[in-house]
Parts: sequence; C-alpha cells; structure tokens
Amino acid sequence: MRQIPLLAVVIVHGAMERTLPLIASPSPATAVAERRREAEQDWILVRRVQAGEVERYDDLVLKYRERIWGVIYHLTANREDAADLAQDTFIKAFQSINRFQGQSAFFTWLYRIAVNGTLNHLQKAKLRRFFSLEKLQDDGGAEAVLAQLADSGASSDRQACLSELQQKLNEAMQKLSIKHRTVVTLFEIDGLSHEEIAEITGTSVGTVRSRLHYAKQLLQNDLQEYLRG
Amino acid sequence: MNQLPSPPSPPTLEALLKLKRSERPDAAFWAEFEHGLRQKQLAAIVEPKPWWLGLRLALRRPAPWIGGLAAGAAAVVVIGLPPIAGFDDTRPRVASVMSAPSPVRAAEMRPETMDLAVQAPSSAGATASATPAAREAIHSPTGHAALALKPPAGTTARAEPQPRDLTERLLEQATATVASLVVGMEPRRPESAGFLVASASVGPGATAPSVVSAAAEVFADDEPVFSLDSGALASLANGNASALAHAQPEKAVSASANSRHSRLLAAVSETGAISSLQALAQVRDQVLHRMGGDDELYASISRLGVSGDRLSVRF
Repeated sequence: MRQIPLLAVVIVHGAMERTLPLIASPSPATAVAERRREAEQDWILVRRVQAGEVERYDDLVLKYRERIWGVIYHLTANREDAADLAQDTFIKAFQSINRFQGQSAFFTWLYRIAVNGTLNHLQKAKLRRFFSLEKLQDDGGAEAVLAQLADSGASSDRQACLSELQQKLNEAMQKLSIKHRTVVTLFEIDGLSHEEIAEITGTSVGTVRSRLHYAKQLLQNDLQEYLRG
Repeated sequence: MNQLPSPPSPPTLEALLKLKRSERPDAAFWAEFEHGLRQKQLAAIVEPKPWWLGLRLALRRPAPWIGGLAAGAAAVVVIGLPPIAGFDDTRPRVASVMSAPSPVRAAEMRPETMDLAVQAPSSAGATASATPAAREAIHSPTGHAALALKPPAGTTARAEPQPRDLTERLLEQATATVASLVVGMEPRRPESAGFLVASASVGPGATAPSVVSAAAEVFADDEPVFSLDSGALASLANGNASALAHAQPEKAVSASANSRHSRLLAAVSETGAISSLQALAQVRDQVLHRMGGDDELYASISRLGVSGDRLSVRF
C-alpha cells in the first residue's frame, strides 16, 4: 500500500487543533537539582570502582547505556554504529576511570568520551552513510505529537505519519554539520543545559548558543512545510 | 449545523525534535548490546593496545603497513604444550608466547657468541671458570639477562644440535631449579621459563593455576618482568632460589583472579601434562564442551584450534 504523504494526512483528516502537552519536561531548576543528585550518586559508584569493586561499573553502564546510545544514535542515525560506539565509550571510560577525579560530573565526562568518539567516527566515515530508523517506543510523546497533527484516523496512517516524520527529521539532522548536530542533539533531544554542552564539547556557552540558534534556523527552513511557522 | 473542523496545527520544531526521544530500541537489542560489551571488555583485557597504535593516533596519518602489523599481532593466546610423542616438530616451541626481543637473544645473534662451546657448569665455580667471552655473553649488551624471554631446555637444540652458550645453560638450570622448587613443575615443559617468572611474582606457596594466571599476564605483556644478573643466574643454577628475592622487578605482576583470560588459561592447564595427540584432542574437546555451556568465559571464545603441539584460543 502506498504511503500517504504527511501533508495529505493532515489535510484529509482535518483534525481540530488540540493543545495536548507534548513530552513532559521537568523545569530547569528541577532538572539541575536532579542532575546534581545523580552526579553525587555516580561519584560514590565511581569511587567504589576505583577502589576495586569493578562490578559496580555495571551499575553505571546500566544507568547510562540508553542515554549514551541515544546521543550517539542521533548523531550517526545508525543503530549499529551507535551500539558499537556506545560500547567503545564504556570501555574507554572504564580504562580511564582511575584518572577521573570528580572535577566534573561523571555523566558529563562520559558524554564527552561518547561525543568525541562519535565525532572521530563521523569524520572518518564521511562517505559511508547508512541511516537506520529506530522504532518509536510508545511512551506518550510520539502520540502527543501525532495527535497534534491528526485528531483521528486509522492506526496505519498514524504509523505512516510517524515514519515519515522520523525520516524527514533524520534527513534534516544529517544535513547539519557535525558540530551543529551535536549541539541540537544534546540540547533539544537530551535536554542538557548550555553549560553542560559547553563542558562536553569544550567550547564556550556563547558558542553553544550561537550554534544552536543557527542549527535550528537550518532545521526550520528544511522542515518548514511540516512545521508551525 | 455541523461546524467544519479547523485545520490541524503543525507541530513546532522543538516538538518534532523531542519526538526523537522516543526512538529507543527494544529489550532484545539491549541483550545483544550487553553481550557485545562483554566481548569487547574481554578483548580489551586480552589485547593490550600496542604502542604503535598510540603513535599512529599521534601522527594522524594513514599507514597501511601498520594495519598489517596489527593483524600479525592479533591476540591469539597460544598455550605451549609439552612435546607430543611421535610429533616431529623442529620449530622453537616458545617463540610464539615469548617473542619479545631480549638482551640475551641479541647477544646470541652476534657471530662471536655463537662460537662459545663451554661445558655445562654444575656449580658456581664452573661459572667462574668460564671464558671471558662467555661472561660477555651473560653481561652483554646491558649486563642483564631477561629470564622470562629465554627459550627453555631442549628446544632449539632438538631442532639443530649446536653448542649452546653458557647463558642458555644457566637459564636452563635456573629454570629447572625454580620450577621444581616453587611449583613442582617438570622443567622440560616449554612454558617453564614463563612460569618461573610468574612463580617468582606469585610467591613460594603458589599453586599451579595461580602461577598460570600470573604467567598469562606475563605472556600478554610480552615483556620481561625480572632481570637477573650473572651472579643471580649462577646462584639459581646451583639450586638457590633465594636469588629471585633479590631480583629487580621490572614490571609489577600480580596473580589476577579476576582476569578472565587468566582463568581460562588456568582452567586449561588443570588438565595436567599432555603426552599424546589423543590427550591434546581431549583438552580441545573439553574446552569446546565448555564453550557450548553457560559459562560466559568460554562463550567469549571465537576460535579454538590445535596446531602441532599447541592449543590456540582466540577471544
């Protein structure tokens, strides 16, 4: 069956505008407090690993594997590459964990390893670009976005909408330069603050803001037919 | 009268980007991810990164020959097994596991040291009466002999009966002495030299598996862990193992009970002396059987082979 273009779906269904909340995001203050608490917990685990309880490292892997994989996946748009790079990240972090002094949060340090490894990988594999779409997990966020597009319709149509949205997003993201993609991924998708991104990427907060603004302009232009103006 | 529905409102860019948060793999993916991570962790333990990889990263230049060299240095753990009856193999038996260059070997390469035909010393006095050239072989070029890297008794001599120099004889006797004193091991076993060093680092109460564990680390590093001067060698040749207590450690080695690699080698070595092709096949079958089980250690083996008198395990 031929896939119905997203715009056609929007027009045919003519759904009423709904003001459903999208993905619930914590307030910045709550997020900062939560991260601080996480960082303290991580530091305790790291010290235990450094003291020889290497099995505690598994707890850190379990805690961060989805987030690390997610960041890398959104940068590479390839799930297998993301898995490989995420594994490499955890191994590199383990090999260097004795050098980690707790001057920054563990997750920032881990993200830095992941982002640097991914940037190296992308620079090496500029010509080899295979994208692979990951299935959306139904946690309410995707449904909320879709509900904003179409109020009703068969589930197959909605799935087609989602797939098309995913594809367009990925294409637009991959058109960005690596640096801009990194900032967009960390800020908009992973929800990190400007300061944290500056620490991870080794740039200033001003540079992060500037890159983010420019990247969003590019994405807006690329996806304008799907977006609210 | 029915009101026409108002046109839908397209989402914002931020909403679309947040949609990507929902792109998550399923549980099966994470199981595979976990398995892959374990394998890479094991490989990272077994395969220490060669120094030239760091150099290559530093230079940031593609060098095709480095790739070839890396392939040659791939982590194949070779466990030297004792000679098999009826197997006519003239290769040096410890070359694969103890292949790093040593000062002693460098001395052997020089033409003048090849002419040293001296009688086997049975005491320290014999050492003292050795020719100056023989002493030079012991001391040269750095004045130390790297004990861990020396081929043990009856390896090269079996292939080609040539007069052996004094250093080799001393090493042979030192190996035999300490191997029998510390671990009760047969000195003719080709891996004795490695075990000798390992046993010195583990301690006098060491059991065979723990010594093998330590030896595994020695082999993985391919570096000598102790340097013995000529006096210590002579002392060892006389059956005095206390010389090892004064040996200068060049590298800290500990018996790593946590090392999967070491555990595997220790498990294989528990089968004891192997004296026939049939016994060798039994060891291989035993490992193969374990590979099919639930033990993650064995499940991480990617290749198992028997070549000549050697059992090769690749992770």
